[in-house]
Amino acid sequence: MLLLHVQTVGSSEGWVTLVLFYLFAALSGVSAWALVLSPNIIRMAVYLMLTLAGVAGIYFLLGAELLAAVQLIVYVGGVLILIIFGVMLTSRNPYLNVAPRGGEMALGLVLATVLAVLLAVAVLAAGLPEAAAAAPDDDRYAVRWIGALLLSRHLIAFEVAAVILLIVMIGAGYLVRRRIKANQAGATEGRS
Amino acid sequence: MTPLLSITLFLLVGLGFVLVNLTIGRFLRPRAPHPDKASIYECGEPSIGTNWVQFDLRFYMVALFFLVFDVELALIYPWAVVFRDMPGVALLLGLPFLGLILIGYIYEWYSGSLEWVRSGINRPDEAMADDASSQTPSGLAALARRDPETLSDIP
Amino acid sequence: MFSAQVFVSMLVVTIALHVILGAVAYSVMLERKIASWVQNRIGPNRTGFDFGQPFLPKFHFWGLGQPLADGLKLFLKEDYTPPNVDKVLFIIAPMLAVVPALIAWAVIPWGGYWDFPGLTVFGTEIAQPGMAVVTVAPINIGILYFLAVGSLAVYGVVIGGYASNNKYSFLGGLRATAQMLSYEIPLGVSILIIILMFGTARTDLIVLNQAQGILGWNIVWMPLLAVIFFTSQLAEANRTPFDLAECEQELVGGFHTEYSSMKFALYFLAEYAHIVTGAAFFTLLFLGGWSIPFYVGQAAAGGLPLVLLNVGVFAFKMFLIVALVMVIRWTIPRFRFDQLMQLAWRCLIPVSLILLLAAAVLVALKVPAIHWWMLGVNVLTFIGLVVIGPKVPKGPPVNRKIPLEGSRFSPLTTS
Repeated sequence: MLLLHVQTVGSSEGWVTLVLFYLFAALSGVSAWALVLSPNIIRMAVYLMLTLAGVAGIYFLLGAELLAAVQLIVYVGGVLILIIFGVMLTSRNPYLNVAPRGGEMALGLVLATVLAVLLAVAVLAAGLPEAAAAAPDDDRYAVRWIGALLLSRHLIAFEVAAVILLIVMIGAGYLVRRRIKANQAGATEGRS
Repeated sequence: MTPLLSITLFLLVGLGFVLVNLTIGRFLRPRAPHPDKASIYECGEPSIGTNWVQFDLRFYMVALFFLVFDVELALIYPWAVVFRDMPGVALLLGLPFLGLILIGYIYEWYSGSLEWVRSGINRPDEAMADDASSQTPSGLAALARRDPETLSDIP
Repeated sequence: MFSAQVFVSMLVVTIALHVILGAVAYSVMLERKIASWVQNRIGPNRTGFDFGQPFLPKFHFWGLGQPLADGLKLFLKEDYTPPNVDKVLFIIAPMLAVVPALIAWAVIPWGGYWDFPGLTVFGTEIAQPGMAVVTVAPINIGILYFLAVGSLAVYGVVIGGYASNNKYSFLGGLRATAQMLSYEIPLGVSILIIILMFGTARTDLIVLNQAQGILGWNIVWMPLLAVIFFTSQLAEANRTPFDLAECEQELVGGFHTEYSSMKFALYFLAEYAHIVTGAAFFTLLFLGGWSIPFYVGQAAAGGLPLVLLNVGVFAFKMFLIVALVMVIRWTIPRFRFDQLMQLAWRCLIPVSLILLLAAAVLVALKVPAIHWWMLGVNVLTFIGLVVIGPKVPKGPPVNRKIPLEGSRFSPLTTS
């Protein structure tokens, strides 16, 4: 696989791409392993952050600059912070290490194997494009093109996303309102 | 991908700078461990309990609302870039999107989600109010506990 | 061998990193000098470059040796890792703080376009001639990269606060995270408005669009937006009046309470690097980047002299902004945390969304003299804020009067 890759890239620019690819792949791969093996939840979050950042680097390498930026902005800067806050909110003591029990470990292994097999099948079935290295400067990947697509072919998805965001906001607002009511009740109880 | 190369170089050089500073200094720095240094710093007081304070839901809510706006921004960037090319269509199709977000925002405002209200669990002030009114200290103790700024009225 | 852009990029990488670190070190000095001017003191003026060594010439250089001496001191101090911390995260966290602050510089167009003549050494062509942007990475998403990297900056703070195993650190980390998240939204929306107006996200094109003397600059036509961006940038950098993450009266040092020596220095570096980065982006978005004020016929591209002039103009504008940030630190008192969150969520975000809508409508209607319209919208929004703002229903009172002895609300002192 590696040899094949090297053969397809001949120029010096290709070598640069290759080195960068392995750099970012190693970053996400190594931190993904660390993520799986680490027992501490917050450390896991940091490793997950590095994994996602590495994947963003690979997106960038493929010329999908917008996707890379969105990966960093939404997943690394938003979702992962929410996860960290969620962990801090729910767990009694975050310094407590997580040790999976035997059953959980087995279940995880089975699920991981199934996922790996599925992904491998999908990748092999898709077939890698022959001139993958030629993609980056392609105009198709430009932000402008994505914008035009969002307003034409993927318009429904664009608008539905807004609806989903609205639902999230309303749900969060409901949660907060319930909490405020609970607090007010608690406060009056305390006073009496 | 040449931009990525320069960004990566930039990143590696920056990281290298950090690492070199951390490691070279290791051989130059003094090491003087002391049991006092091992204690958690709390202005000289011995630390009470764990550092694990009760995490407030408000912080989580901020992160949740942030995520909503963040996704919205990420989705709307390509729209903004392409806006000049097809202003009419983009405005027509972007208005529902922005409108929904605005509706959500107004709902949040009216549901009180945007207020940074104090949680009801730890409310020391009320307990303190009772405390202060019931056990008003007298004599020297009262003097000692009074605000220094008002001490001028003491004969 | 190399194309012009690659060569110029490499050149900028090499120079920029040195200049950044020097600028950051000297911005600490600038901060101390400004503090002393504001407070009617003299400030650091003794440390020259002799460092107490007898064989070096003794001259004070107006205290210019101070940053070097500070750096050396931090470098040589004991680097103590308290025993109860999470060791891995404790070491990673300062790096997570520094690296995003540094790499955000990659998209800043320092000196416009360079008509690069090519470079040939001993008959071997090293770099081809051609046109190049004087920046590290001329990427299409440009300004979005700044936001993406900025969203990484949260981690240094939250992880540092968690790893220190200290109550102050943890609270400081939490506060800083909530603050940085909240202010990222108005920051993003104001950048979005600029993109919408110019139809591009590339930083060099954004500057080029403004390069028509002072009347091309965005700050003239969108003053309110500039204020929103500047405020958010201050909050993102955890600067006064938004430095609640490390307010010394309540949290000692905030998230870096337990840090010492070089690791503390890295946090310090990150804070000042953030200020300088923010100043650079404010310059390129609102102050017209490299464009010279009151001079319309500035050439878009040119040789090395023009590039150096451009870099000088850019750097001077940045210097002014950094100095402004520092003057603000010694002028405006710190906000309370609920005020901070209210400012972001109930003022900056709705106002920036209103401006976004207005900009979209104006661009879509293709109004003539759109700049004047935009100025009108900004001024009207500001007037609306001043008029409507006080009438907006307030939430429940957050700051409760605590009748403690010694406080202003004590029943003993008032009676």
